Amino acid sequence: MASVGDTRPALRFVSPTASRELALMAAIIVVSIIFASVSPYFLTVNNLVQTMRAGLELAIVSAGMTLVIIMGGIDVSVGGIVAVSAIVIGKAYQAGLPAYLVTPIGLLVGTALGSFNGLVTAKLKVPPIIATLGSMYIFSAIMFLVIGGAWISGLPGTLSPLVNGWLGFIPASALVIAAVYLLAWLLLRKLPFGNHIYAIGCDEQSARLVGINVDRTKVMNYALLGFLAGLAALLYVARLRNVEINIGTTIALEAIAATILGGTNIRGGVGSLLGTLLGVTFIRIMQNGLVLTGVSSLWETVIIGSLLIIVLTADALRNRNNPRAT
Amino acid sequence: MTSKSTGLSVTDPLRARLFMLLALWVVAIIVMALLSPYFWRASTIPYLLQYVPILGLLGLGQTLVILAGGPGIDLSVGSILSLVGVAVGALFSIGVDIWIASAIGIVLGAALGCLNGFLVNVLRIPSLMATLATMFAFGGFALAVTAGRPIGGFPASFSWLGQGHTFGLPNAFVFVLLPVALILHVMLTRTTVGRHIVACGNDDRAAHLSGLNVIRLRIGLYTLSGVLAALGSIISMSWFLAARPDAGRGMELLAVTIAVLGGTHIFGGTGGVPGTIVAILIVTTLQIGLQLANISAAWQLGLIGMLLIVSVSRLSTLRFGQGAKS
Amino acid sequence: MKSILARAALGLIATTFIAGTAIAQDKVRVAFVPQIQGIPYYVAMEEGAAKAAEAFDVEYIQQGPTSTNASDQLRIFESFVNQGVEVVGVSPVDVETLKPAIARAREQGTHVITSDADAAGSEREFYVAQAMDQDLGYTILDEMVKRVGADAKISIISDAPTIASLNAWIAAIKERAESEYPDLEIVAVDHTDGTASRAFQFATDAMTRNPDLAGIIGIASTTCPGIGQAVEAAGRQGEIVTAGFCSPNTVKDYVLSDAMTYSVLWNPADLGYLTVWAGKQVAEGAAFNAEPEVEGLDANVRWLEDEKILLLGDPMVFTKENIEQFDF
Repeated sequence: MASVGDTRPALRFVSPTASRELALMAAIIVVSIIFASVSPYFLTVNNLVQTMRAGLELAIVSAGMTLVIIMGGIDVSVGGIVAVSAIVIGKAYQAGLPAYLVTPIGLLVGTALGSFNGLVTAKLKVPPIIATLGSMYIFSAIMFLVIGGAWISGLPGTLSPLVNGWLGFIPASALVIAAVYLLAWLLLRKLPFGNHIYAIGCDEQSARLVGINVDRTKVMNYALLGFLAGLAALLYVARLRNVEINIGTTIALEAIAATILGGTNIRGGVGSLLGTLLGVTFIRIMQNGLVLTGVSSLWETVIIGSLLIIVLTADALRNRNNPRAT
Repeated sequence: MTSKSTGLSVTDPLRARLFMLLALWVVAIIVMALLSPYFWRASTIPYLLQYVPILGLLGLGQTLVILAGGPGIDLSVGSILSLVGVAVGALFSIGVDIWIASAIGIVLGAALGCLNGFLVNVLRIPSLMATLATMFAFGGFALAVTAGRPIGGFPASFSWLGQGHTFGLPNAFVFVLLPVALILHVMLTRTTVGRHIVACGNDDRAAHLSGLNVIRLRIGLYTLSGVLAALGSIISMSWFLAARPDAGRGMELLAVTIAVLGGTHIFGGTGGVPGTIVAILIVTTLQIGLQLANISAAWQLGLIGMLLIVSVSRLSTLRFGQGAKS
Repeated sequence: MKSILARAALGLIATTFIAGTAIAQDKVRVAFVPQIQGIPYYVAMEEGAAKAAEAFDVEYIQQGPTSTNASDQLRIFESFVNQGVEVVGVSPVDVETLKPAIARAREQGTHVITSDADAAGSEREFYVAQAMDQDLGYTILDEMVKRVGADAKISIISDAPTIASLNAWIAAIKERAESEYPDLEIVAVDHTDGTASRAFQFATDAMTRNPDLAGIIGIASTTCPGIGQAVEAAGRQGEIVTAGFCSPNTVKDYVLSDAMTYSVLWNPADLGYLTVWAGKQVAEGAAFNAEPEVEGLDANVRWLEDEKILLLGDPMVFTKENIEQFDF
């Protein structure tokens, strides 16, 4: 790759993503005020909790996506991983297995598929976007061939307290999201694994030279994303108690959008989990608010796409003279 | 364009890639002929070529955008195709002559492509993100203004381009794709602009220092990609005599697949028109052949995915390097 | 390089075996292109069609696109025509896209019929209909009004806005609401991206926005599980009336738990059976009389000569009382 944009901040005294986080928070507050003034139902506990539940899978997958993108990778096949895991989970429940067996199976399938992506990028040296584009096709082929038209319905909701339950006055889904982000944050900031991710994202060659096991880190990182996709599939099944053909079709692009909206640099090396969480919040609040204010769902993608352009443009204009921030 | 080069050395990786692709295509044709008795017939040729031009144009635009580096990618081509179609349909329905409306459509395609170029190169928003945002915005807009309904009623004379045949070959292939591919190929290999594009992709800083206006060049290529998408849109309308607001859905990723399968390096600097053309022929041959053998479309997805990964993986280049030496 | 070629060849040859090689040429071949593959509805249709193929000694092939994409569907349609299949049936995603192709196929001597959804204005020979679009829209709305009253608020959730047949049903519902139930308010028509989770979101948001919402109608079978689950999650089983055009197996659990009140559908297996029978008739050049007898099919089939429509019968309404008797 060329080196124009490669003057990345190695040492940071101020978080390079702080401005984006603040901008997103401001944006969320502004649209929330607009929605709340138009619809009395927007700012109710009931609605906000439901919106959070609807964003549960996206939030979980996006956490993993953030780590992968910080490493300079990307995964467009993650929707396929969610789908294939969900199918295996559904089939396992159907075969009468109890939840304590199905849960590890689901997580294992996700991890295995994620590792496959990692191995293809790390060992076969396929650029991540190509590798995962290829596996996206492969996973959706598996999805069609395995499930056929036999949707699985009426699955047990053993895990649904994780989505719909309350722990005192805290919704369980908030705890799940908090746990996932805390885990990701610990991995990223407190363990050597995280440093390796940043190092590879900044400069893979140098990372190799200083003795980081680049290949292993890559495989582990993609496996982690796969694990989280498996978790998302488990929660999806717990929430909808149903496995059908279209699971996960939009989640990959949404997760990438949320991650980059949150300030993570697509070229790697810079990223923020908080920003990603705000990005997810922004997307889901927009979707929810537009329906509540009576805007036709047809306009939703236009509005979200345009807002993406506006946010990115504003950020680019502000950082125009600061090559480090791009 | 292809067989002449037999006598030349195969050290050039691009040419070697082309050989591999051609061989792969021959294999695909043989296998398809074995699979279905209906494949090995003269009538298959126009049938197959009918599906080549639209995706081929998008693939060519993608090839150039990726080739010029950055790293560049254009995920909005499918949405541009849809939106241009809707605009032309709207113009036609208020009484504008269809060919004039098509010309305006091409201008619109150029403008939308130029917007992409501006976002990516002037504002320096990463291409994946910028064109993902415009993909949502353009595609959503096309769907929203029409409420999803196709605009029909084009005059039968308009079908010449999309449905007519010359010497037994589809007009869109003979009069649009072939000339466009030829012009782009000559431009890339014989002109200064072409050398500049490759130089940009190889090392944009060096290109910039040697006095090349990298930004202008790249904006030009995004614009070209928009124009090619608009051309594809016109072919599609002339074929179906209707403008569908989702006409380009899913085509962006296929266009990337084809460009990369054709040997264009995802980070730019290597690639060419012939490879892309053979890649689109391979993909279409697989799709048509498997369809004629009544094999589920899911297998087509899986096969394309596998082909993509294997063709870019280190496995293929390694073996291929040894093969070239012997 | 050799190795990659070998690899590719192996892969391709492997698919040969998967495909099987049997191509029987002596039987009449009837093919059908559904709007999408991988949904229970079309699988049921295929099962019924296979039964008829056995009974009437024809060969039946069904291949559908992996997403509701009109140009993918066209490719499959043209593939059947090029294989010289005698009768090609299709359930169009988009009518405009198929019109020229249908005309070309007829020129080549292929019999083209539509089934499950019609291609109005095309040169298809006739349409094998499960029920008239209008009747379907009217029935689902009438059943709804029976339960919620004529002055209630209802919401509609559909799949992609580009699917013509779903739009026709929505139009019929709206027309009925305007002419018969002027006080009924349709608060929104939302379009999902085909996922159940999006239908879940829309249903939840519709209930939040309209606390007095009395009913939700799901137009596509992809929306039904999401709607049922949304009602369960909101704990409003039995309070809100939900309905859809969904096969009983997809919604059985929700209907039994009161999360979904009723479903309006026909038996897709019967529709598949009738399609193959009709295909055989048209291949042999036989005409239909006003009330054709279809051997092995227990339905009140009618032939509408003016519209060229072969009608399966009236739509069925599935409720808690009868849903367990059906398995499709």
